Amino acid sequence: MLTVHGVGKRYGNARVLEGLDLEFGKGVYGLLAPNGAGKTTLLKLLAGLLPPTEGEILYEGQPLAVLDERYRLILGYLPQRFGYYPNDTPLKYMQYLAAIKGMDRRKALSRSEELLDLVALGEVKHKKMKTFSGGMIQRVGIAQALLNDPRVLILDEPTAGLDPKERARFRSLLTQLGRQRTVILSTHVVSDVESAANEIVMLQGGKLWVKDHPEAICKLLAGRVYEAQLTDTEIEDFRTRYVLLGERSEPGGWKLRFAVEDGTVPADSWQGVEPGLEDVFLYVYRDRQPGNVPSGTIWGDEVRL
Amino acid sequence: MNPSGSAWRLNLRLVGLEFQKLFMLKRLGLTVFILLCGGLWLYPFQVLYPNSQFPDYETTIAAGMKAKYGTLIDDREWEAFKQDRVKKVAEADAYIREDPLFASANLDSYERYVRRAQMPNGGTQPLDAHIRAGTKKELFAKLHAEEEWIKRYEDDYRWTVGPGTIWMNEAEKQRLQEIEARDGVSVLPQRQIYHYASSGILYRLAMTAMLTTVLLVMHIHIGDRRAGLDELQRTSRMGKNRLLWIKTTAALLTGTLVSAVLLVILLIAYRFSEAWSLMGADISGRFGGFFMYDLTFLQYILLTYSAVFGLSWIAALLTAFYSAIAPNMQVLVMAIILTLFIFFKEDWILTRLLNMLLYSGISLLEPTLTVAGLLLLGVFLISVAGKWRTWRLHR
Repeated sequence: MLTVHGVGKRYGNARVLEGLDLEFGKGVYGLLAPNGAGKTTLLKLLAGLLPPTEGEILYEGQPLAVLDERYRLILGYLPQRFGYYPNDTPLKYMQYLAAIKGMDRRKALSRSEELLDLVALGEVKHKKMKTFSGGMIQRVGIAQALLNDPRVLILDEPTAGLDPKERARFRSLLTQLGRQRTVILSTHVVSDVESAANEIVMLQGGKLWVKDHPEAICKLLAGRVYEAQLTDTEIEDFRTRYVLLGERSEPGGWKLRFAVEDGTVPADSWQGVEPGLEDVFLYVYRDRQPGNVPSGTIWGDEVRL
Repeated sequence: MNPSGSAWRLNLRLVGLEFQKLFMLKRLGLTVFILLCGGLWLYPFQVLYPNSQFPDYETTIAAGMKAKYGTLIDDREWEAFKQDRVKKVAEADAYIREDPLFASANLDSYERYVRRAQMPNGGTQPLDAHIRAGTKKELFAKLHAEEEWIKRYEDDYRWTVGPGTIWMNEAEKQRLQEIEARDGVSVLPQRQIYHYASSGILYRLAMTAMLTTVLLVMHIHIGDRRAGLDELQRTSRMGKNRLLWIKTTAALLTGTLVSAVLLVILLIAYRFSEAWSLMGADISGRFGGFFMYDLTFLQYILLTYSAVFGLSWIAALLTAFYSAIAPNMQVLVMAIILTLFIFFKEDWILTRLLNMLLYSGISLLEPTLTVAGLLLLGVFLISVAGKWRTWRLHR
């Protein structure tokens, strides 16, 4: 169990995170927030890369700073921008990382080969990484994070650069991994976590906004998401009055997906739809006037949108 | 499996992997290119294989004597040497007698020619030039070198009570007596000591070793940071601090390897030169110099060359420190240039240190302590680099 207790983080005078209380058991946790919301900082704190300015992070009841090497032993980490020497082959690169993870040479080789096969890079394991596409590099990154069969796996934007097929395969991998360990991944691509994550953590203004199952989070917008056919003249009015979640050009007008404030009486022509996680994301992180932030920063069904 | 044994094996493997990174083909190529441009490492070949314009007859004479008499020349052997020389003088006499230019200068023997040449207004310059352009150039040059040789052997005043000796302390005077009490005089010529010392071979090889070490080691930390490996290393089991020391070991091994390669180059340069036969000769003697230690020339070279290893280690430690803390390559390069300048600047660290070693009428303790002090400073700075990183994270 990874426990975040009253954690805050400042860079100089800038407060990035504040009063976070979280618990991560076995399973997949998706960290959802727009860019600059403190996702990467939180992941770095969880990986032990940064010390919190206030509060503490515990693994199995012991602070990460005390566990030190023992924590790193069970940790797998994929940074947002992970590095490599372009002239290295993925196999050589994996073997280097296996060595600094303390694996013996034979195990390092077999595990590296096994993981490169898992991310479908087995056939190019002897090719220089400078010839790889962004997606292939990202898959090497995912493979390296799994080298030591970690109990805590932290992945920062793991799907960046992956094509839809690779994303689907990655989601399947995540589900399998989450059965035996704690997997925490950050993303701003909602579909990456919607199906694979057991719980979603959403941050707002450096504080925890919600941590719950995806279905429960979607319910927060239940009865407030609609679709409607609109003409060119109607659409501008909708854009200013409601939160736009999607729009598609159709013959003779537009099809709009939008969310309304609680208590709004829907028009007859509107068709109510089930809200998805992306709808919640867009609704919560919409451009707001100063001071107009969602009320309540508490967990579960007490959250008001 | 013994856990500590496997930890050692793992550390060694990591050092090996760091080594591979430092010796990347591209970097190695750049280093070799820079060294070739500088050409410092070629210096031993330049001085040990003089061209015909500036031949080293002193070493030729010494090598010839060593072949005939061994490394110590006694009085009997000295007489034999002078006897051999008589034949050469006769050959020079014959040449002078037959040459009309010498006749017009009223000279009929080599001895008179030499005496005239030593006069303040002897007017032998045209004759000297005439000899240098003629077929007996080498004969005259060798005879001249032998004269210097004889002077040095027979001039007791200069060696035992000359101006230098009045500054000697009791221990040095006693040492002088010991050298004089031997059965003969060491055949090693002063020129060989001069080639090796002064601003000669050792100085240039030390510069080469430091420069090469710096060029190879400078990427050791900053290279990983630039490649973006930093976070992966910090979250690995080894952690950044243990990797810091593993990298430091790799840097020190690089310095060792560079120094060892240069030592091999030096020994190859000597092996195929005339000086090789003089390696067993004592460094102290009328032909060579005055040293407090009983060392052969080879022992002296190996002992003093240890300074090159020490300086390479210092260069490796300082460069690793800069590489760990420099925010970018520009700052790193500036720091390295400044450090090398401080080391290489005439009469500053490098020259002073080597002079302490090379002309050691004084104790070896002083240069040893200097090198040890600089090494300790390097180790201290590396530990500072580790703490500095932690401090930055907590800011």
